[in-house]
Amino acid sequence: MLARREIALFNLGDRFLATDNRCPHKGGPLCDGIVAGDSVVCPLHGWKVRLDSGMVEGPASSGACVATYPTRIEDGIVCVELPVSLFEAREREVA
Amino acid sequence: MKRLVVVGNGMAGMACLEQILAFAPRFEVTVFGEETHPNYNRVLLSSVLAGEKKAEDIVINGPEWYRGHGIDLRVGVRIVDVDPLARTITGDDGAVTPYDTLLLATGSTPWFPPIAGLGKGGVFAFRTLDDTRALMARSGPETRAVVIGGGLLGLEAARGLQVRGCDVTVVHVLDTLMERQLDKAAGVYVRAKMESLGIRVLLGRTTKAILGNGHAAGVEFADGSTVDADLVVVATGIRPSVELGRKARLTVNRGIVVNDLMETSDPNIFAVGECTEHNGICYGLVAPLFEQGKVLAGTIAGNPGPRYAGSVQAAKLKIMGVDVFSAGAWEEAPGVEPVRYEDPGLGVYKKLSLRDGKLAGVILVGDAGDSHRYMDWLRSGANLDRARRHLLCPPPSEDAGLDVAEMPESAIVCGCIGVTKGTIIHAIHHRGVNTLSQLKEVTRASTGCGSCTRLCEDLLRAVAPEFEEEVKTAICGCLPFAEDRLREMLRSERLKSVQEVLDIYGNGRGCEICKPALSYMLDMLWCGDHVEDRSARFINDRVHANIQKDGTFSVVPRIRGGVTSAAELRRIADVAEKYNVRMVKITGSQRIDLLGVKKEDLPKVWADLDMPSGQAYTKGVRMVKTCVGTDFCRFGVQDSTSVGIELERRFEQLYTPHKVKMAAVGCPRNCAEATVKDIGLVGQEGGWQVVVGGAAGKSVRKADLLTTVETSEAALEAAELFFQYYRENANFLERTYDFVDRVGIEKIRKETVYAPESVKHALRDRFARSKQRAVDPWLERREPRHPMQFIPLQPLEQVLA
Repeated sequence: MLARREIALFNLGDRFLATDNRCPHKGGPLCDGIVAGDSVVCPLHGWKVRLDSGMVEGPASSGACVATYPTRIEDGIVCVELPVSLFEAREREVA
Repeated sequence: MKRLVVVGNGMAGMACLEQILAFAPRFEVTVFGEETHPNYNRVLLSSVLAGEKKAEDIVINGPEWYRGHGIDLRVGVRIVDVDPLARTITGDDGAVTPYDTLLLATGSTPWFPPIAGLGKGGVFAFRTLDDTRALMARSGPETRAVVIGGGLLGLEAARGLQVRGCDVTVVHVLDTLMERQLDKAAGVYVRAKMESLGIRVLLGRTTKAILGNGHAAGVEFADGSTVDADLVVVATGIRPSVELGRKARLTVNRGIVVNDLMETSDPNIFAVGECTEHNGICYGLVAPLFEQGKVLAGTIAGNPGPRYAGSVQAAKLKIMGVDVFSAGAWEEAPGVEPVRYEDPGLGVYKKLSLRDGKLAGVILVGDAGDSHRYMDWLRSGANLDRARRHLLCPPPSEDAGLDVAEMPESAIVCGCIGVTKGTIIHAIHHRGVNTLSQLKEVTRASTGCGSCTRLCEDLLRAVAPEFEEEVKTAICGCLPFAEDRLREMLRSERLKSVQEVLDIYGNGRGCEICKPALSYMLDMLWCGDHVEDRSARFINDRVHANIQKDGTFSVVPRIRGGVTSAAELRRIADVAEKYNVRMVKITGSQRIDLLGVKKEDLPKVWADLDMPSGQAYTKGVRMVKTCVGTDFCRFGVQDSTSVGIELERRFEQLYTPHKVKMAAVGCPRNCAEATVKDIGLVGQEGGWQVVVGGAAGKSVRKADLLTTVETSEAALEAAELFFQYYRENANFLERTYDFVDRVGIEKIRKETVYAPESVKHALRDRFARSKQRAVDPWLERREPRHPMQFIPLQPLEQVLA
């Protein structure tokens, strides 16, 4: 969680993917969903969100998406690359 | 009438006899069988060993078939002599039987290499139902089994034993498995598959002796090394049983020599199946037997049809998850062009051998889905020059029906029995065939190895006017199986983790539909003796609370029968205040719901409540609603409160395909609405009605009467039988009202309360086993499944600090 933004990190076995933790439908916690292939299914109403692109797969017509963040593994630690804007938002909050 | 005597009650003899009876039912038929069983499908013995099928499932013709055709069946008699001049045969019981026409279908016998100590206890062949039963009786968890022979039969035996829990080693004399069917490269893939299933494979070992004093304790190899074993199976090949052919002075080489009309050198004696040799070839697989049988039936009936021109040999390994198929002449030779495809990561290897632009042979490992196409090419000898680009990856076909439509009428759909597409279409149009089982009965298609079942269904779907789907649809795209089939597979293959099932039978990934369903099945079958994978569960089952729209949770403690106490209420009130619970609500189920609890507070809330979970969040036993019954009510005739509490106590903490809501009422006024519950006990004067399948939610359905009983204990027992039956047979997310509708209350009654005592006993046993292992999930507050189970996302600063 950074500047009140929750980031969900998914372990797909062969890689890690990071997205915003809010389902674009009604804000459900995506990290509590069930991973289905490359997607996660939101625990509230079953929206299906692709973890690599952030696009909502189901319902297909929604056209919604969530933010995704690049990840890499350094010395066994999963690093998530977050936009500078988030850190600036946090600076403002602290100030 | 002429006397036709058949020696051999196996697949070849009886398939041929079926054809003879169809052509010319003018024989007085006597059949001798050395085994004491009815005619059964030998190909499926490995499925019996693996527990996928029962012995009675593989019977082809039961006693009623013999009776119906006036056949004199004599089992348990071995024929020891033939007198071709007197035209008589002699049994080992001394009885002499005369014949006009003799049909030898003696099959083959296991061949054993020279190994010292083969006579010791614990050493078995794998050829007959008796062998299979003996193996089943002697094998189980922790049995160390060595299978000598890395051919088709040896590998199937190995997998069967392993599924039974044995620790299995396969020993093969050559340095490659299944060398009769596979080239070395394919052998490597099969070896890897077998090893990934947990079977040890030792290649290039010549077995010298069975060790042990009177009973097998191990095997010793020519190089002096040894392997311990409690059980040794020798599956090193078969030899045609030609003894009677010799006694009858027929021409015999390796097998009894037959010509293209399946005649032997004696005009009154015929032979069919594995005991014969045609053009120098002895066949040891099932499809050629049927092809020979057809020709011979014409010959014997005096109506010779097409001549037997030899068969394309095709073999399929019947191990679930290990697709192996081989047919024709795949060996490399001058003038033969090999076409290969391999993907070591996927474990797929395919090889076609082309000669003069035609398919000569094929090997498929890891994906045998196209075997029919290749068999067609092999049989038809089609020129493949124009199909060269698509030999190993056919252009995708959107409509499954198209494939069948493209097949010519003469194409063989069922390779085991030799049924063509034309025959099936004829049966559909002229014999009123509409279902798969009718098709099986009329044409026998798909009664052999069963691999053509899908093709048969596609044909029915395309052609039959009133095709009735029998197979239920697959659970989801990840796993191409219906749920009842899946349950059977998990049980027989002893699969114990969701990922394992997905890896072996699915796409390796799974989704939100199959993962929770598999989780339920594993829990129901193995009662905790399985790998519990919380990532395959819905969030409610990860934190044992019901997620709300804002991401908080609701907490419902167990209040059995809706009966609480002042002390309990006081604790609940304290908890509500301490954790700022946003709403305290009396539910429709006579429970108390604390709404708006944060994830991280859940363990503390449970500890302070000091009550078990009411499991109001899961697919499991929810609650029993009760009225006050005889305790206070002036109309009550049964003690619904105590019985309801007892019902809840017995079933609570068990998971079910969908939620189970129950009620017990003390009189037919039904104040606690028992007749619209999944299970309801309705008290009446002198006893109880047990009703099931009621609903008052999205659907409204009046429950069906399961049974009427006199005592409370009998009511609880009847409820228990239904409850366990529902757990074992319903699809995941199928409520009792859909389940009862689908299955029918009559069938449910027959298989629960009116079932034989042994069936009821087994249901109760499995229920007790589940119940014994069930625990209050809220105890995970003391030992979380993993350190983050109840931890919400933390601010980055805290994580870094």
